Amino acid sequence: MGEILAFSPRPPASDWSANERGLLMLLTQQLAATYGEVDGVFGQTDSGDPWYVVTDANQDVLVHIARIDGQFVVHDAAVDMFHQVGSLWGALRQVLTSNIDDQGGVVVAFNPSSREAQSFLSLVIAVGLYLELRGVELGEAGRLNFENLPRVDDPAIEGVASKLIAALNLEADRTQDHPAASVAAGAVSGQVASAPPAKSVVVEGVAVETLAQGHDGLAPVQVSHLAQAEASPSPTPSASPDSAPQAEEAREGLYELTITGGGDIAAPGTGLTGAKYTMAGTSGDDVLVGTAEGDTIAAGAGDDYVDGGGAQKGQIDRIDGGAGDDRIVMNARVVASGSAGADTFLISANEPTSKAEMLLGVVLDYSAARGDHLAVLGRGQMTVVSTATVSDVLAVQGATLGEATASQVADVNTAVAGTRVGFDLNGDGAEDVFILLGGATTSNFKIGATIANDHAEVKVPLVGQASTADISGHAGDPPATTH
Amino acid sequence: MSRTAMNPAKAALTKSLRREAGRWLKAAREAAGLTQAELAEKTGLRYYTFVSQVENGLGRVPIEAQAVWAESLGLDPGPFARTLLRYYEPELHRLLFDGLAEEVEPIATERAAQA
Repeated sequence: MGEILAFSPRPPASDWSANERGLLMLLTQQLAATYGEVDGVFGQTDSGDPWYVVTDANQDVLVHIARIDGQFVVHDAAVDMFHQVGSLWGALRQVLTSNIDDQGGVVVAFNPSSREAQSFLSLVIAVGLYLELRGVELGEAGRLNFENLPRVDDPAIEGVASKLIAALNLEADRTQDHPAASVAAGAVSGQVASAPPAKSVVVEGVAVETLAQGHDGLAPVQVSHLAQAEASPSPTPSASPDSAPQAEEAREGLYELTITGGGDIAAPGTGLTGAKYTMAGTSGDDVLVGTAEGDTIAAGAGDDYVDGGGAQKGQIDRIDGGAGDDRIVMNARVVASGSAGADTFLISANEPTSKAEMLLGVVLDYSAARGDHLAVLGRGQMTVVSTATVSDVLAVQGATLGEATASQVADVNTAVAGTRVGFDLNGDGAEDVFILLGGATTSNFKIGATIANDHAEVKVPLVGQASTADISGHAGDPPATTH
Repeated sequence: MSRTAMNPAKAALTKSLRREAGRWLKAAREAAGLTQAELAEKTGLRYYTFVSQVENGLGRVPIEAQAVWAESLGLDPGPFARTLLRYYEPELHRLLFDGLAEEVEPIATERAAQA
């Protein structure tokens, strides 16, 4: 009676083992003999299943091999054939069989006791011993299915055998890097848009008036008496240390508005369509409302309330709450950083009217541990219905809006990973809107949790003019505007 | 069976553009809230690892599959294909569209009727 071998269950999703990598590199060598210059790339899916691709010099994929749920799938692009087999051996045989030309050789019937079969099995054992001596696991090799082993009458056998011999000298190849693993990095870099000529605007003791001439962007208020000057070499005066970076941006060509003596409301805007504004709050508890254009707002210290006021197509509002427990109004075109303090990101529970409006905005540094949380702006509530890991929140925002918005976030040049949280607004269980939270994990949000209006109200002055305009608001509404 | 290889500079450009395409596709998938397996299921792929492969800049989405990919990602097929053409065949894209304004942003396409 023969020895009873323990059953080995299918391995969980994991990267290629050293044995498998060695065999796949053999395949690559074999294909190189056929196609000339080829590249082999290892990769893994977001679920952990490994794949291996061989490309030719034109970057066309020749072969795709993957291990999915313990099964090996092979797609031979050269002949567009798909196979699913139980072992990597079987997968390799499928590829090599389809890629080796019939050279009119003599077909030898398989005989396990034949010299050819014995030689082949000796090579397999030699490779196994070699890898074992190298300290790599032999789990996969130990599960070789003899039904799937290459046969002597297989036209691929000769090539496999010769390459197995070569496997005894795999030292250099085994340390091959994984190009696929580093592809995602730097997705945002290199996309910084060119800035307009340097110009700064300094505002002191400004009077806030109604917007004399409204436009489609719904600029809420207009500042009069702007003292505008060309940028000088000296730094632009700023109200708080937090505004220093903005002074630097001004030298790079951004418009800067420094609000002094604040604490109440500041609302810049000159009607320069497409211009980028920079606002800096004070060390107090500021209420900062941006324009209908893309703004950069640094609220500074204090428990601030910041509303970017919206942005035009191709623009974003870049908001930094600074220190303090800030409240930041979110929308699809907001890229916010709460910074220090327990910040509240206010999201709308209104039904979206477009695909872009499904996005509630991007937070770059969400931290539940710090006390950051979401709250509904105004009426309504929403229920968490989905969470998913996102590798680059700005890239996803850009993809959602169809614009290279990431290039406008000049202070972020690496991918910010986080979580995409989906919400149901109307109770049908389907996702209606979602938000992108850099730094958050899926465990920060439980499916079924409710987000409501639980934030402290803020008193925002209603600004209007003597006219028939009807301004009415209710608790929790965003700042009212008129024009 | 050996093929004529493109010059190294062009090969490097092709590789770079494929990676950009992969990043764009990944962002579109994540924006749609789909996993790689879910996208593969929607598009009828036999093996979902192909999604990961393409997102890593290897290979390309076949032309005959681009419509169903676009639909699965909630995008309009025309702009979707045009965007991929820009990455996969930049010279052809230039000949066809150079000088023309981008008609529709692929993912920002507003389809209020579906919202």
